[in-house]
Amino acid sequence: MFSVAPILSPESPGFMAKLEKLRSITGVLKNLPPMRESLFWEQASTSVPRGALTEISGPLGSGKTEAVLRFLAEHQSTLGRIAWIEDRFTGYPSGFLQHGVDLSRILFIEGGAESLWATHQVLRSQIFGAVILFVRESTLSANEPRVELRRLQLSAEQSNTCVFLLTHQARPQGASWPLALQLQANPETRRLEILKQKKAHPVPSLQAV
Amino acid sequence: MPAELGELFLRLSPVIALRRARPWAIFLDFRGFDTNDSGFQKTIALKSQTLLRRWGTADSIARSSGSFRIGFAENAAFALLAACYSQKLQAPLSPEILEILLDPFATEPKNKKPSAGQTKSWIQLLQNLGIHRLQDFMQLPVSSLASRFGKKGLEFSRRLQGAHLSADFEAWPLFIPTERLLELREFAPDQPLPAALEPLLFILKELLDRLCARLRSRLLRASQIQLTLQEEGNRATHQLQISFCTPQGSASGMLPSFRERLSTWLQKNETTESQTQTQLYGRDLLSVKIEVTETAPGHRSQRDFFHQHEEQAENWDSLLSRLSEKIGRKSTFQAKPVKRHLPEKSWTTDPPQFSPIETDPQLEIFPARPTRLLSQSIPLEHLEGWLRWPDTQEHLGRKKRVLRWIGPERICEGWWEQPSPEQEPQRDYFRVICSGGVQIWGYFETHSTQQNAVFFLQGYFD
Repeated sequence: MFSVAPILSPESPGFMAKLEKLRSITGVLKNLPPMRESLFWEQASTSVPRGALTEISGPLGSGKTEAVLRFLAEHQSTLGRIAWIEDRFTGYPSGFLQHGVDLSRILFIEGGAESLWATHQVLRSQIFGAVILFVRESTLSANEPRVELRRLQLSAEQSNTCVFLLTHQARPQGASWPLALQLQANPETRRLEILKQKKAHPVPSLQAV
Repeated sequence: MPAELGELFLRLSPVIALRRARPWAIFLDFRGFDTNDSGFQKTIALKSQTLLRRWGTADSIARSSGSFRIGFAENAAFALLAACYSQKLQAPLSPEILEILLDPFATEPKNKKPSAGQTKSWIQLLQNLGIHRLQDFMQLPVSSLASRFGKKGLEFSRRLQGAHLSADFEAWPLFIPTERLLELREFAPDQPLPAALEPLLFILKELLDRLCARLRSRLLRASQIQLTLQEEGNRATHQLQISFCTPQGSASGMLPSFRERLSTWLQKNETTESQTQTQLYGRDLLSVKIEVTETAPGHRSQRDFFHQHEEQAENWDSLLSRLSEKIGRKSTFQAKPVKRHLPEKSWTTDPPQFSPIETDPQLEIFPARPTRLLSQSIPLEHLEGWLRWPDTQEHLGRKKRVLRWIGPERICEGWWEQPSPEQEPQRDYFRVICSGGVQIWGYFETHSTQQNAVFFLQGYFD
């Protein structure tokens, strides 16, 4: 099904033409962006606010979960226990392990329609350093999503917990969403773009590595 | 035989045993008393009748079995025979009598008891020999019993002979009443408690505090509590069983579970329009009772001065109870890797534990794995560098151009689980970078011989 191309040397004649031809065969476009490892989460992770909501949005397969896992791996000693809440669990624990996350510290909760309620309970218990909630359209009520996020933010503040909201679609700009940090994982540019950053929680400028 | 009856007769003797099979019996030990004295017998009979009548059990016994009788003898089996048959040695041989003599307390396990057929054939044999009563059996020479009737005959005779000795060779299975931990709050009829959530919780907090203090002193925790509410007016009682996912030792841990359960229960009660179901919501209550129906050993009851481990354990238990009450016991779990290569079988769930679970450090490190795994693989159509999603999967768009294939990684595993070797999964996994930068993970079945094979999407590098 797949043929292995002979190794091309940049010094060989017609190198660029051959490379273009190879790219057209394999379907690889010009100026292919670097791999996901170049996501510069390391810089942003030091400024993820505690006691507030951080939203990371991006389409499925864009790298937002990896970004959160890196943060959890780097800060596991300070965060302690972690709650991972989804309405229907789709995480792959073997993949989590490869990011250096200690699985024994994570409590997975498959909340169904009660995911938001479960998040409040987790925050009230005050024993978790970070809570990751996968927000789908049905998680927040259609009528009062802002009120519900505000409640969540108050709970996070009270328990001094980092709350990550993973969504496919970023909350629209301009409205007063109670989010301290709003990041977007852009799979094409391989960057975490800051959409919103509250002054109380300054984040250093994010530049491409 | 209810345990309450046993408790009742503890007034007469501290040594009591119950027979929980028909004929039901309570054995009282009056060692040291002259049980042949008619005055003593009369007193005990009168006291027993009074107790049964006072507690309302005399009528129920009369309804169920007709009457209750009292028998006095040197040992338990003969006392029961005396109660059932006034002339114990004149009693005709029957399977019931044999059973009473061989196992007066009905404690022998069923598999060790002789079957009904065996007993009947043995009695038939005795009757053929002209032995119809216990008295007749007693007259047989002991030396010939073993050859005539075997082991059972010897044992039977030994028991009958034992009746003539004053010593009781049977160890009594002592009845020890189980300790009941309950708290009750009653209200005057002119100041009843409204059946609403907040007033109920206010009262329950106080009762639970007391109950937990009693539990703590016994180094116990409650794993199940029964709440009983008595209504004013028709005095109907409503019972609610609350089970905790992990045993609770504090009121603060139990109250949220009570709140959850009561709010849904009262709501149901409020909306019910059925005539048969009594509506409790909005009515007045005369009493609130909580009783621990199941306990478990507790943690160390002394709080650590230097860290909050104890408090956190309480909060953890309380959280899990609430979650399991609302979303189900299996919805909270911890993940544990397993030494398997097939992605869907490479991890398993464990019940949540407060102390960290130990994972095997020797687990193999695979090539890069995605962070999201689909519960079922989605077949994607693969056409000349394009992947087409089925119509139902609209999240990534209908069609994506493939920019890069990374792989393959062949996984063949699980032949021992398949009915035939041909059905063993053989997959070539690829990490695929699609247009737009989205990275997916999936496989081609190696059995497939088609040129444009189906690509099974199994995960996302999300």
